[in-house]
Amino acid sequence: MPHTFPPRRIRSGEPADPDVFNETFQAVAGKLSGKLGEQDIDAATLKANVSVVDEGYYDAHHIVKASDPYWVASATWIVGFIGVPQDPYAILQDNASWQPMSDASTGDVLELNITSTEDTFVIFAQAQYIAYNYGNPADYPSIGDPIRMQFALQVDGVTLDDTATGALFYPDTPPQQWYRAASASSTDEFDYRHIQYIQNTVGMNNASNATRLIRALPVADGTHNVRLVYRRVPRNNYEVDNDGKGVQAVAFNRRLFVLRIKGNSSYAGGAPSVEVAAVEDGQTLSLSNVFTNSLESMRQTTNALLPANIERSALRNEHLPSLVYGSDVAYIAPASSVPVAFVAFSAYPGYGVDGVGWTTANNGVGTNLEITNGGVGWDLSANPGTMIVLANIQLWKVNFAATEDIDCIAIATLAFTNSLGTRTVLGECEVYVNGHNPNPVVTGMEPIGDDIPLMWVVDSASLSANDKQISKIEVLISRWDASAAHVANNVEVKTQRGMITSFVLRDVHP
Amino acid sequence: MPDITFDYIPTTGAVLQPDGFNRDLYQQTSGKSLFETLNGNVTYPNLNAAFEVESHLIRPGHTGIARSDGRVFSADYFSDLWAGLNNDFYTPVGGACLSFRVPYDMSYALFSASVFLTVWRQFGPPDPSAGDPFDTRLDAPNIRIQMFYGDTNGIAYTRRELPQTVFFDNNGAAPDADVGMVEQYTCHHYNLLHAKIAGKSAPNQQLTKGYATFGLAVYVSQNLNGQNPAGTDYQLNLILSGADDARPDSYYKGVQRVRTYVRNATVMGLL
Repeated sequence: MPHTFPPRRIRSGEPADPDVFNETFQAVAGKLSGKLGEQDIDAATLKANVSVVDEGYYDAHHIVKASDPYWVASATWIVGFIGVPQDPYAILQDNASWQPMSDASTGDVLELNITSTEDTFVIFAQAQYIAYNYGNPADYPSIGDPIRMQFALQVDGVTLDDTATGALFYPDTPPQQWYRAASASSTDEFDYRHIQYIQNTVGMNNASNATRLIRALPVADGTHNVRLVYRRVPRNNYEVDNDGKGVQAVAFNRRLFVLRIKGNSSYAGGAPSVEVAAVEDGQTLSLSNVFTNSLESMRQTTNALLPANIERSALRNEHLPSLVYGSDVAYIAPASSVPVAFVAFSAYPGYGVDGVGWTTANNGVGTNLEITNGGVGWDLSANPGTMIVLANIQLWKVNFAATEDIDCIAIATLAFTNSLGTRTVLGECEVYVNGHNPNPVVTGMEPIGDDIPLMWVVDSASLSANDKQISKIEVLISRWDASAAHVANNVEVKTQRGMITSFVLRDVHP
Repeated sequence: MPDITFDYIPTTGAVLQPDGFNRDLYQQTSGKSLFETLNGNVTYPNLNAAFEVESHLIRPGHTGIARSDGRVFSADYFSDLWAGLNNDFYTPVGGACLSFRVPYDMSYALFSASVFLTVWRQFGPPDPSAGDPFDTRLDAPNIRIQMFYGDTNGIAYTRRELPQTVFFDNNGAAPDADVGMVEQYTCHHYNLLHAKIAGKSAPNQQLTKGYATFGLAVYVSQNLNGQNPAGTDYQLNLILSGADDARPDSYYKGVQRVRTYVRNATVMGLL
């Protein structure tokens, strides 16, 4: 509200005019009745001191399915994962239309229903899938079985096209011939063996891979349904799967997180109670009507302002404290082009199990991919809220030492260390990437050029007292041999660059 | 501003003093009058002890921003074919970049660039005399992607080297008479991140008020197939090959390509 000043002054020797009092009192009372504006409020002291109601800025919505492929204990991994005591896996059906991801045993859909005003959603989603041959469940999927898996975000039934992990249109631009190769036959025909073959390049083709999607979206008033959806894009013949052989895909760890940045929230509080009775003609002036119930009443209100006294949307960023706590970031970007090889470490210890089979991702010369919040750690007892951790690690190569094989699995996850020095390996964050893009002609052809996305969301209320004191969060690497031997073979994992970042939204609890 | 304490308090039976009454309404001295406080000098001590900022008091967009942009059509990025055009630059990928206004300093900002891509990364010059166009296999330079911030600042930790195109038949077998240069096994989806945080140093320093641009760029280096571009063989290969085909042999070595499919850039900034 613009600045206002006393419209009239009372003067000695003048007859008391009720209008003088009334206009003056109403100017103040009107301002206190929900009209204190951004110009009326000093920003600096408010920003430094004021409290914010829980979830006043943001709220969060989170669903995670922690599902174990059960690789370690199984003699044949694909049998082993069925019925393990974690969250159910989700079968990714052969369907070329976008489908919700639903639990195999319960049918529960990975979705969030969020009631909003005119807000902004920031949507994070992650999924880990593994594919195997239909006809032979013990047979790890062949690289010859491109599964063309696509994931996308969907809000209120509408797929956000620009989040799809692949080509939105299929078939994509037809194969093209880039060059004339010399004839390898006795004819003068071009050697079409080397025509570029881009069929099936419409979706993720790894047998085992993880993906993460991030998208911002402004939403209107109402309740909104947010889903992570998938589809199996058909080949050019519009048949799903490859050559009638086909693969079955299953999603294990999967997560959906929505941060709602509040916009035009509706007012749910009471009305301001600033009432000053009018002074009437003929009324005797009293201490009550010229002071106690007017000036003094408004003074007391001004000295103890409530939200109801302040105009809607009056507080700008200059007035408001940050509710972000414990932001940190770290990265490894080796100066050398040589990736860091992990070769002499033990096998994958199991889903969410700590052990020597985990090695902290590092740059090869002593710098680990980890964050410590500047060395002071995170105190989630004093700063309760939702912690979000995001990381990427470049996967340069995963292979047997001497051969290329898709049965080699690189595993990555996040882990945190608490106040007692106990490290917790987060099974729900585990992702698995198989060897792919091998070259049988030139062994060791590198890189495979992949990247592993990681994500952890945790409500501090779900942590134990000790775990609320976090000293370190790190990216871990492990390996597994998915071949028939099911032992930790001489699988070699090479990584290179990576980053990890975190932030805590105080007083936000999904 | 401290709580208000009036200079003048009338009493019953006494004559009302206009000057005192007027000063209680307004005077320049802080903490003495209603209008002086309410006209821009309301401070934290004036708030009720139980005061908490509620959502409806907040101007929309003043606790955080989030923007996204994306494209769904495929777009190809090529290397330079000719030695004289060996311009090895990162090229921003349309649809995976975003320019936006930053209305105030952000305590935390997350930049996300997502892209699905395949690559055509030829390696080895053809050797027609041997009947095998790929008889001599030499490493081609890596094609790269990398996030950038601003006009020139590449973010090294987001750099990713893309795979070579594999030589398989459609069933994953070793090369045979049906060999193709199979791109379907180089399909990758990337979701790369960059963060800017108050109090951190470059490249993670605070995202401050103003305008910002970030995104994903591709670097498709010229494929010299391991040859010295100043060498005789390399120069010869730039000569048109003959009457049966007017296209230059340098096509053999020049082409490298990234095909970007659906892509997206998202930024989230928090007060």
